[in-house]
Amino acid sequence: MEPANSGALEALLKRGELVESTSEMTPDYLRELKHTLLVSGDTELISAPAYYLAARKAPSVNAFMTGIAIIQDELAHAHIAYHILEELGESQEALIFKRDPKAFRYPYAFDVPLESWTELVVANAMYDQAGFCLLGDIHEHGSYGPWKRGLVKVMAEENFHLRNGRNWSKRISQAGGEAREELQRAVDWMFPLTVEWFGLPDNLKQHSTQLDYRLKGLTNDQLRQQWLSTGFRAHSMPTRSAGTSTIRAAGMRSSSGGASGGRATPRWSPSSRRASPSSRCAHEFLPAFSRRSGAPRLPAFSRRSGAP
Amino acid sequence: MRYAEWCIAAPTLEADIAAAAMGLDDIGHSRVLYGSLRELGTPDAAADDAATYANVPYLDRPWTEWTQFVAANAVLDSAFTLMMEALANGSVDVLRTRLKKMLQEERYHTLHGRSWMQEVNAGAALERAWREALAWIGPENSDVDELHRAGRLAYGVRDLRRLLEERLEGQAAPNALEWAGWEPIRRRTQPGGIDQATLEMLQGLAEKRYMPASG
Amino acid sequence: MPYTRVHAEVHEYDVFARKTRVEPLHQVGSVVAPDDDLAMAYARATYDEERWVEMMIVPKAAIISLWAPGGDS
Repeated sequence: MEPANSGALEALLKRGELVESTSEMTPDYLRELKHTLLVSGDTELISAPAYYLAARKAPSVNAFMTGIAIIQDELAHAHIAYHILEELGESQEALIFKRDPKAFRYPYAFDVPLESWTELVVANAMYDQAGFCLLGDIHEHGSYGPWKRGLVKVMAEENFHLRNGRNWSKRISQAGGEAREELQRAVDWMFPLTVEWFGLPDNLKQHSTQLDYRLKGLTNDQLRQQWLSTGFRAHSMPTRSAGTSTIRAAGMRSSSGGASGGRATPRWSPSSRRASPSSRCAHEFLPAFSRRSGAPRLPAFSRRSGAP
Repeated sequence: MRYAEWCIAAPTLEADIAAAAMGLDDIGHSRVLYGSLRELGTPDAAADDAATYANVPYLDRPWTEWTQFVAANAVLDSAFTLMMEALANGSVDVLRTRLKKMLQEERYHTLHGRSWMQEVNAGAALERAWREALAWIGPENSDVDELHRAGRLAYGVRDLRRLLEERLEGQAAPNALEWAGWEPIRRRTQPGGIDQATLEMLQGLAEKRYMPASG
Repeated sequence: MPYTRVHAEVHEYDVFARKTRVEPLHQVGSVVAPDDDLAMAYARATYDEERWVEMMIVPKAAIISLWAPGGDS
């Protein structure tokens, strides 16, 4: 049975207007909106401990502080998504601190630890560029007013992360030698993981409710292609223009061509870099947010200690 | 730096964000102060080892409890802010102009510390932070009081102690301090210094790795 | 709607700011905190994307809505 305001919502979306209140939503729209917000909040939140681990290896105080500034932004972005969920009736406290670590929704990339400053700056150039494409799409096309407005801040700050990633990548590339080789290795393993970030290729996807509800404007392949062309390809990896760096996962791009219909996800195995990626994953960080006693922590602090 | 280390470990997401922001503020403040020193004719000190840093012992190691964060925030940061106020209202022109923004930002550290103090029982951490803050201010009739008499500092030792107590309304001040072993430069009674990882980051030697080899 | 944190009781505050003297205040977001002190510290730390010339917070409970899109009020 169609909810009472189904027609009204459809008309509102068709007019290109923004949804502002739960009274204008159908239960289906609310569910999709919450899911999209949750993925966004979780991804931003999980990026923080992942980046922190690498920021600890910053070569100087200036570099460390740049890392902290980026983490502060990511946490504030997570706060925006979780607070909107809170306004929609969820509990931020429960979502962050009381959820099973396995229930968090974020790209697989954050399950692979970033272990050096070089890996952090490549993550800034690649992962944050992916986030920029995805959130930029929601900022531009999204139908939920409060989120669209909240993303103004997010877009400005993600741009700063990209610049940090690009500037440092350039610097490391110019340093040459071992530093540059490490940069190349980071590009090699992070590239396919970022391709995967955008989800299933369009030809394997049955139907997108998110598109119907204008919770996003572009398809997975369109966004993936945008990532490949605007940010990553043109600017971020100067090693490539120097002719010594190659993207070894070119097959991934076939998904957007549609001809081969290759799935982005299973074709590349992260085991080429990590002996056992599943054993080292973001779940290690999550106890930091679930405040379980005795759980491993990064750093080894016990959250909430001293609280009544 | 110690604040920033808590950016993924505070009891709420909002406090995580504030920890990162306050860490960034304080690094910015250290730059202003080092810059002021240069302008006043004091060359940069060598950063050979941990003993060259004049930090309170409370900051030697990362904090392992949120109560330590809160006590540092409420007590040490307040004592530091009062000294900055004393400098900003003293007779040294460079400091009168340069420290204004720092004081504005420190106000939010005080608010943060004050509110969390009501939330957690900081107990031992509070006592330790307060002792070290008093040691940092120094004994009566020594350098701080001399600078006060000369007009460079708007407050003397007694003023600073009283104002700190006012900021920590309702908390009991520690008993008489022991001044044996007090170092006037490092303003502490205990030996030791910051951990090796923090020292290396401050020295920034690893940056060489990212300089062009031909360079 | 009551929100929960580690604190016994928390309140929502709307955050308003403006970049230049000529523009009016606009809402830049909101924070949840147990008291005004922490709400101020959080607002300033969370919404630091610009060098605002003015920032203020208002307890959400103090806002009286006349009407709003969606016809809730």
